[in-house]
Amino acid sequence: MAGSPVPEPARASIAARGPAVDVVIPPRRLHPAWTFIHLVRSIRGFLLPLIIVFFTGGQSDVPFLAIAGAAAVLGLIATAASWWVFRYEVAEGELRVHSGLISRQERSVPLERIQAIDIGESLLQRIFGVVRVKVETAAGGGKGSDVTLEALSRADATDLANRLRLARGRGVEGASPAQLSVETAAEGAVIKRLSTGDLLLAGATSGRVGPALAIVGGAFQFADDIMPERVWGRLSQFTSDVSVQGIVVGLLVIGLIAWLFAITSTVLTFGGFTLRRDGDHLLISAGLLDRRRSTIPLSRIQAITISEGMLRQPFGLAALRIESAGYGADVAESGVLFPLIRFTEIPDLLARATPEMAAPLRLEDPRWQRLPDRARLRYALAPAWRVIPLVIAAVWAAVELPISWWSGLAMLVGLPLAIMYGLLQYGDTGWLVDDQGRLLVRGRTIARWTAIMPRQRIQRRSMTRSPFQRRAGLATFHAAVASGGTGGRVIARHLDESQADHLLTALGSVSSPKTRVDPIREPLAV
Amino acid sequence: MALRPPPSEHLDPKARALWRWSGLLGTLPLLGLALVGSAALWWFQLRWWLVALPVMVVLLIGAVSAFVLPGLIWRSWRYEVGQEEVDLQHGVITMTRTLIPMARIQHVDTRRGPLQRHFGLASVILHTAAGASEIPALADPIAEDVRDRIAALANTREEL
Repeated sequence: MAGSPVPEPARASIAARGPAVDVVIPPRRLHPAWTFIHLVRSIRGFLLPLIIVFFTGGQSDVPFLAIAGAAAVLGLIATAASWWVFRYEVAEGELRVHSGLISRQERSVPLERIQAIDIGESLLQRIFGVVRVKVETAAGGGKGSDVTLEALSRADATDLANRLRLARGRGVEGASPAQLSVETAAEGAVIKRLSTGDLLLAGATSGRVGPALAIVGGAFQFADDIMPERVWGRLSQFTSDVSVQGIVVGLLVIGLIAWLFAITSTVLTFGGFTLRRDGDHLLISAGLLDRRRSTIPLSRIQAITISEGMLRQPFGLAALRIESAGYGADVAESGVLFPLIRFTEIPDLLARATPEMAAPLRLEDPRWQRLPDRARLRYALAPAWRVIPLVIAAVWAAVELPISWWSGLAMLVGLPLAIMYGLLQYGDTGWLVDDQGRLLVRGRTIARWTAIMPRQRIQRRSMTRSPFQRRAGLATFHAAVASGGTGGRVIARHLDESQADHLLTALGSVSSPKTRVDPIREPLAV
Repeated sequence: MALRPPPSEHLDPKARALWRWSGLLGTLPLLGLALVGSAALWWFQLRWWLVALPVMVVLLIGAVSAFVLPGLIWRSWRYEVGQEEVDLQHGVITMTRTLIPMARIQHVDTRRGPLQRHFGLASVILHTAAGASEIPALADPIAEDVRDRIAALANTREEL
């Protein structure tokens, strides 16, 4: 008994707090459209090789066609069989999924362990009128830990989502499955919608230019591969006389295209973004082509991160993220509470959406603690150290290699930039513990971020001191909440040692064990 | 303002012997590699000190990890199991102080490796939703007592 990893009383407490309503869904299959969607997806992967084979002398090749045909038939049968075998059910307080053609698998998720429910639909799924239901568990982040039902009819999906909510639903007092019909459960009070102007603004100021540039680069590469030789010959004749101006114009054009890509992808991802609240759940829906709809229990939200990107901060704009154990860093749009909002509107939104997180956010709040003066030099030099090897290499190259000396020396600009960035980080770093015991930490990693962590959500907190920091009386503070991504951890470097120590103590639990058992639901009763 | 006093409890003194042995045993495979390297250098008829260099470096690493580090690590490690929190402090160069609220601890394990068993020692591992922390090398009965105490105090835990 002594060696049991989960202490027996813990199990008992889970059972005691089990489902309020006994929810049962008999074993069901996915929508038959799953077979077709699955086939299209698998074929997509083979499309390029198929085309290549087709165009490079695959014609009249009888053995090849026979093999391909046999493979296709086998694939069809296997797909149909896996559809037949796959079943989901809800029984005894668990969501169970049976799958596997050759090796049978059964996955069961206790309903109390569900962190969030996402309903999404891709273009293909919309054609068939089916949706994808993803049940996020605390094991998040890692692949295969969540349950994904790839194709359910809308009715089945809403039914499942409602019943799962109901099973957990201590917040839906006295509601029976009949009362909680599809329509009422789907709505809830709208807290905020993203306007079209803000949607475009979000795209224009998003940091998505990087990935978009990669796409543009890929497109040029592709064009290079398929364009006939003489077109390039003519083009290069045309451009051979322009050198510096041509390069600059070319870069500008590529940048502009990448920027348009970024705007488009943001519009497609966040178009129609609506944040609703229904009792103790947040309902988030978004997406123009691929629609996505998440149901997140308020009690599962561990922390909020406010991120002011370099392009957004000057205009007082920010993005809001939810940290929850269910969401990993896997999908960029998962965990987005609101994609673009004026900083001044954040307190109001938090008060209405997640009261537990509604902390004072004014920048000039005198309670914000700042870094001591002696930390300034450390902040200024930290990024500079990383740039120095680059600068040395560039200067060496400028001196040694037969390139114009100024192009190497231009790299020297990196050094003051790095120092400026460090000083910016120094100025932005701060923290405060508000009267509700919430920890607020602010810092900068390119974008300026502010994390809001209620005291009772903090899993652990620590302070580290290197020998250099000990000599200067400084310390680095860490705090972590349960989260699938990296946003669940905050680090503030080079605090005054005694202030870090005070912070460590101040966040300690002062409540009596009785209120400590479940402080999270208190705001929900409101 | 004075910093809060360090946690009260030390690890078991036998921990130093445990780490000395694990340091020595850990050096053995490295020593094998170094001997191969030295043999290769000898084959090329290099100077004697070049031939001896790989073995000397590995011996130095082994000596430090077996005879210097265990004492330093042991002296740096402190822990305390309070009513509300578990308090840990360790680190020879960078000192780390970690506080874990009882209510956040999901479960507690004890672990004994073969070498640990020989010395009658065990590690206590605390699991929270944001990762695990370890108290290494406690005497068996103390490790069990610490584990049971934490399990009992963490019992008023809530779900994630």
